[in-house]
Amino acid sequence: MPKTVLIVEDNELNMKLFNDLLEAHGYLTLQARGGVEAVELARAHHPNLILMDIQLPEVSGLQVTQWIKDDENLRSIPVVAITAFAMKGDEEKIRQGGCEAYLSKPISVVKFLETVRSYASEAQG
Amino acid sequence: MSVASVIEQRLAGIVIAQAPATAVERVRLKAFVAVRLGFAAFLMLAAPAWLLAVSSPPAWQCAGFAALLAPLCAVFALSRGATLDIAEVVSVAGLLGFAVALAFGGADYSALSFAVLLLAVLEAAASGRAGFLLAVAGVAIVVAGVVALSGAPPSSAGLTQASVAFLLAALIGYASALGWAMAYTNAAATFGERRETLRHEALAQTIGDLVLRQDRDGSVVHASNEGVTMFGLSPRDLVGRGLFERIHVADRPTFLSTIADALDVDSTASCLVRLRRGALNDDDGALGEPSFAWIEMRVHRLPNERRSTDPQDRAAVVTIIRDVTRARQVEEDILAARERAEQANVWKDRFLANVTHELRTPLNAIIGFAEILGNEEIAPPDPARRREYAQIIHTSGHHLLEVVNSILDVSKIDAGSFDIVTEPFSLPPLLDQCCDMMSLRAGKGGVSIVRDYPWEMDEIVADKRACKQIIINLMSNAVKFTAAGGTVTLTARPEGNSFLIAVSDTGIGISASDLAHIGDPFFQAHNSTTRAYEGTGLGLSLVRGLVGLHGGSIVVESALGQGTTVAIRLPAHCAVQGGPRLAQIETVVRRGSNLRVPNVDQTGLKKIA
Repeated sequence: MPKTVLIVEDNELNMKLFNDLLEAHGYLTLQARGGVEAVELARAHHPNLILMDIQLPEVSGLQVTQWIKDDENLRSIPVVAITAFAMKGDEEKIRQGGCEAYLSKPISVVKFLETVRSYASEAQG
Repeated sequence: MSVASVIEQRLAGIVIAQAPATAVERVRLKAFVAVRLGFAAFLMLAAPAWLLAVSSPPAWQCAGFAALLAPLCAVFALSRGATLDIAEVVSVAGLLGFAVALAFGGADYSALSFAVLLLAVLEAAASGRAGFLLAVAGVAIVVAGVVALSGAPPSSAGLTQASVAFLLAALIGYASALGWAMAYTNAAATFGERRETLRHEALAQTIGDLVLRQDRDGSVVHASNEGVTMFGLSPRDLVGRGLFERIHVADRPTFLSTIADALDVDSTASCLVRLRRGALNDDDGALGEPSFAWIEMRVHRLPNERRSTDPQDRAAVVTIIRDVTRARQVEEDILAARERAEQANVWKDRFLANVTHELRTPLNAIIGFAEILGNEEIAPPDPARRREYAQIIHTSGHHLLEVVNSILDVSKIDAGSFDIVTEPFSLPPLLDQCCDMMSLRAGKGGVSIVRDYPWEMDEIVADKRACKQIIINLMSNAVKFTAAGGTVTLTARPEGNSFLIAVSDTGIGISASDLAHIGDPFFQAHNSTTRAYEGTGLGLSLVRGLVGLHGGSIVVESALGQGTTVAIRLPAHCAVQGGPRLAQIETVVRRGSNLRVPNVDQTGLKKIA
């Protein structure tokens, strides 16, 4: 059974990049442009992995991660943060926010796929 | 060698041996020695005459002569290091002895004996010591009583009129010498005091600070003249409660506690307080606008030697007041400058983070899709999709170029190397062009663009490219921050010698607190991790720089949820500015929901230089 990945990303081009890459590698994808939509999709579809852009409109990706980790049913879903902020201390802040892994933009396709593979298979259901 | 020079030499020797502490004591010592040496000299001259007249003097006369040598002994004792007090006792004891010896001379000499007793009391009085005077007076009264009551033996030798006159003359001479010594000492003391006062005044003037003496309650009992130049206050204004009333009310407890501290310890207490400058009331009697100087007060306890009723002597502390207003101003300026620098640093960090984000977002698409296309295994087999990817790389590359260009422009303006080239041109065609450029993006977001300007306008002399950049930046900001269904209005009209170009939107607006920071370098009105809208935050910086280069001004009117209007005024004939110059930004917090183009003379403008 193919794994489902929820992509939370507000930039269309980057959304397309992640989406196409994942689809080409046999994943089912769900797309969310904002935090609220992301939580709703997660509840409805319970994906195997969530790719979380940290810079989101209205609500920060860190906040969205917090909501997911506070939810009994969603807590077990691994969250991989993807951010274009690559300043010192950012990674630490993101890991403290409850994200399982961290990728910085621009991504390396190979590393991206590896990370997705390892976390998506680790998750149950 | 004259007698005078001998006396002078002896004097010098004794003064050195005694090493008196003060000038007055030195004078007193000198006078004492001079009188006694003079008396001794007189005695040496008188002795042969006495021996000739009496041929074989009786025992009481010899004892009397010996007693008269006591003043000389006193001088000798002084030269041997005895104190002046002891020397005075020796000297007076000699006179008392002489009086007793005279009493033994019989009834004829009683009167002379009394006179000598009087002289002894006078000498004791000249010492200025109350206890000593009382003791001598007591002894004199006892001796006088004994002499009066004992029924003196008949005179052994007749007392001639001439010898009485001679002895009286000698006594008067001695008394006069004592009187002279007292007057001389007093004059020296007065002169010394005056000189001391003058020296203190000179010292106070050299210090350049205001020197005060205050009592325990902080009332001023004496003030130096420096207050006139320092605070426009005469010493009269400060005396009494004058100083206290000029201290800032909030600082009065500090003022009083500093004086209390200084009284407690033997070290200097100091504090910083505010002192009101100038007269408390204007010439017409009305209370003037208070102007305060920051003063540093240093307070030190005065030695409390004696109690006195003289108000001058109530002074408990000496206070030095220095005007530190300027030093404090400099200190405050430095602190403010540091705060600004720190703030600028925070903005710079945020700016850098934003720039990084703006660069990485298109770079992610470029690198990601390029990697897909370049990798045989993951590249899509469909040629249409590969072309689509190449198109995305192309679009993202252009976006990246835009970001890089605006960063470059801002830093060029910052560095003063952005050149503008002015030319006369008509605004409406340029405005049309900008609206056309924006309409595609606006249409995608469901935002309509309203063109609110005449078809014909006088020509403006400005940099055409910069004007286009200004308008595009403002419009793209407006479109970006306006939700679907909203409008963005571009207004332009000539206004006297300038042109007004305004972009109004019905978008999210800017909160009052963010509005206060708009135009600050690197400021962006969003928290860094919740970014609703793309952009480096460079848009307005760039506009500000470009308008500044044209010598124009900017007015921003907005309130959260009530849309924003950015109005630019450009001179009709722009003179090229010399160096880098940021346009002044005025901000207006919008009240009510009416959208309008703000006028410059509106009240409630907040100026940001």
